[in-house]
Amino acid sequence: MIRIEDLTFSIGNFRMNKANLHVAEGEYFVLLGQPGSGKSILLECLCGLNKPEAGKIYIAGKDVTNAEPRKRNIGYVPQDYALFPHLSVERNIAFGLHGQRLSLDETAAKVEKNASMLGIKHLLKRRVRGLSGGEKQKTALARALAIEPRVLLLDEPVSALDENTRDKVCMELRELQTTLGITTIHVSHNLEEAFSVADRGAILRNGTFEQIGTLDELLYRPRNSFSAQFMRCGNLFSGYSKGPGPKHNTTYVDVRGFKFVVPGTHNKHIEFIIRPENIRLDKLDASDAKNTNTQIPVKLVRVVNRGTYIRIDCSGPAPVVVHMLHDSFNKLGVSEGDKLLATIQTKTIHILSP
Amino acid sequence: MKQDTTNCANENTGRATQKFKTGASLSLALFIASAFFGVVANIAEWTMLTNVFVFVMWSSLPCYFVFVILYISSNINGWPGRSFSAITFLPLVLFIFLAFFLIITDAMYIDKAAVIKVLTSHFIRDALQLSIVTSVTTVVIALIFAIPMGYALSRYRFPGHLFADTIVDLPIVFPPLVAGLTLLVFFSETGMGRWIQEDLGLEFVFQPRGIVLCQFIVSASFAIRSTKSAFDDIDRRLENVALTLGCSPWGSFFRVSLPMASGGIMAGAILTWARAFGIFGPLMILVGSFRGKTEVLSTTIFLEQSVGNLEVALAVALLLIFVAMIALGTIRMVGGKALARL
Repeated sequence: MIRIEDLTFSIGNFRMNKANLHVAEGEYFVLLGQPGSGKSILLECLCGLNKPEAGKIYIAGKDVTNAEPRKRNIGYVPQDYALFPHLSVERNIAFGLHGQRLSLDETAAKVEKNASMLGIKHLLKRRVRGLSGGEKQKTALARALAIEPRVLLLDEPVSALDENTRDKVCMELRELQTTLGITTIHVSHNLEEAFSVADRGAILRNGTFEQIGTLDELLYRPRNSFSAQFMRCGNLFSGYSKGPGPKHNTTYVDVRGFKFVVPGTHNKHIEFIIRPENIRLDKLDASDAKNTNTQIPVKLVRVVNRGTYIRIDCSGPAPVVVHMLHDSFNKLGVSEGDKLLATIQTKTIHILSP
Repeated sequence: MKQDTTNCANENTGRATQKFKTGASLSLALFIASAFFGVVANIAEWTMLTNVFVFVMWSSLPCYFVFVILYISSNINGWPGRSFSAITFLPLVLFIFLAFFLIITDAMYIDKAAVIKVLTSHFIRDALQLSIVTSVTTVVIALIFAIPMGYALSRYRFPGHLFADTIVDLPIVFPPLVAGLTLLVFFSETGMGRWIQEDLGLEFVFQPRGIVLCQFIVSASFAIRSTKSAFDDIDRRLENVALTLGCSPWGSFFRVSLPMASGGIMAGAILTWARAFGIFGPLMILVGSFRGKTEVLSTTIFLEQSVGNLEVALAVALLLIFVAMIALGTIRMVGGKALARL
């Protein structure tokens, strides 16, 4: 549905060089990246607000690289929504219908349909100024959807909302997208938000796609250390191969003097990650001597309650970060300063590509 | 118990605040009324009554300021805060006092004969009419330039932007007299000026057209500056969204940028008009002051005082101030909140 081929453009110090991306029809795609990575500029490029230097943009199979923004049939919700403050909610939503030469009744019907779909019908006569963040977001969405776009581009659509509203709005966005089947690109820097809405995503850094794939791929199989760190994987190690491991198709890897058992056969320097939720912590005496997995004796340094889970920082030959549910943590019955054994299953180790 | 005391104290403060507010309003009303009647009594040559009104007027003004200072500091706890608010208020007091003092001095100087002359002279009526027609024409022309110029200066960055931006402000700091002199030299001494005047037949020197030109030169900057800052305040993203919603750049300008900038544009128009209405120096040089042809109110004042008619000059000056105040007041009321920041 949306295809970007070798897109090159630069604005100020920012430069995007030969970027390629394909978003399938009806897909909910999330563009992840730190502030300043070029997510918003890429969206503006898709809208036709920035002119690319080279490359092509196709929407629904049509080359729109040089088309005017109004000819692209795109629903665009910019950051902070950019509602027109001099117009009422109703006239904001009707704004894009102006050029479609509809009768007054038809316009009113369309506005009402979109407003009720988003549950803001009671706000139609209100001015934009007094609306809450969530109401503004929905007005902006209704305004973008009123022109019946083929593609919806959302630039940080929920980042201005408080956490409760954000969760709710994310779910609603997902439902709406499923109902309408509209191809959507959603820009975000928040992982929870990305997981609650999207199927697939891309990580952008300084105008380069670090990785494009399903969100599970991004989370569990990051391609490089940047993706891993962006997906908040605290356990990133690098070391040298020390010959074949205890089982077939495994290798010993020396990380600062400690031996890890990693999957696959390697003979040089490698980087690998272990998701914090895939590390098991036990008391030191409960160890299983015959275990062929990696076992690291560690000391519990810090326990941070993150609300839904507990983050445990451990020091040792290889410092690890572990995420545990409250229940399991309480069962373990340990506190800061205790000595523990961290067990890492070989199959949960993911090797980053060199 | 403690709660009760606090409530009681608040209530007392509230009542005191209300008293100060009423006091301030009353003394202001008294001041305006006595000033008005004092001027009327003076023109009617009732000396005794005039003195009474003048006394009431000058004594009600300090009362007003004392009440206002008490009112604004009654919500503030502690002397440091109160004295701070009083000191910030003080320059305002002095400024208003000065402005009123000047206007009332004018008003007290004029006599019955001067007022009758101003109200009945058809030359002065013509001058007023010409003043209004030329200044309004100037505003219209200034806006025709200012709106696209302000937009271009606000939205586009180009080599020489700083230069262009500075040139726009130049007429503000340019002495008006120099503008008139320059225009006169341009039209009489340069080839291009003579070509415009003689071959093209567009005469400016000693013509009402010249009044508009002078007014435009010295006042258009205000409209341009104000329009530019109005466009600066509009988020570019609003225009971008309009473009994705089916607008052409023209559509986005007329449906989003222009309505949103209207407050600032109106403010610029008022400043331009006020400047154009009162300008006098360049007119004396470029168009002179011919009774019934190129005489406007500001040049009437000069002419009258130069032949020793000080009373008439001041009466015309009051007329000018009166028209200007009515115009500004009306535009503010019609313009509403957008102009409140002016």
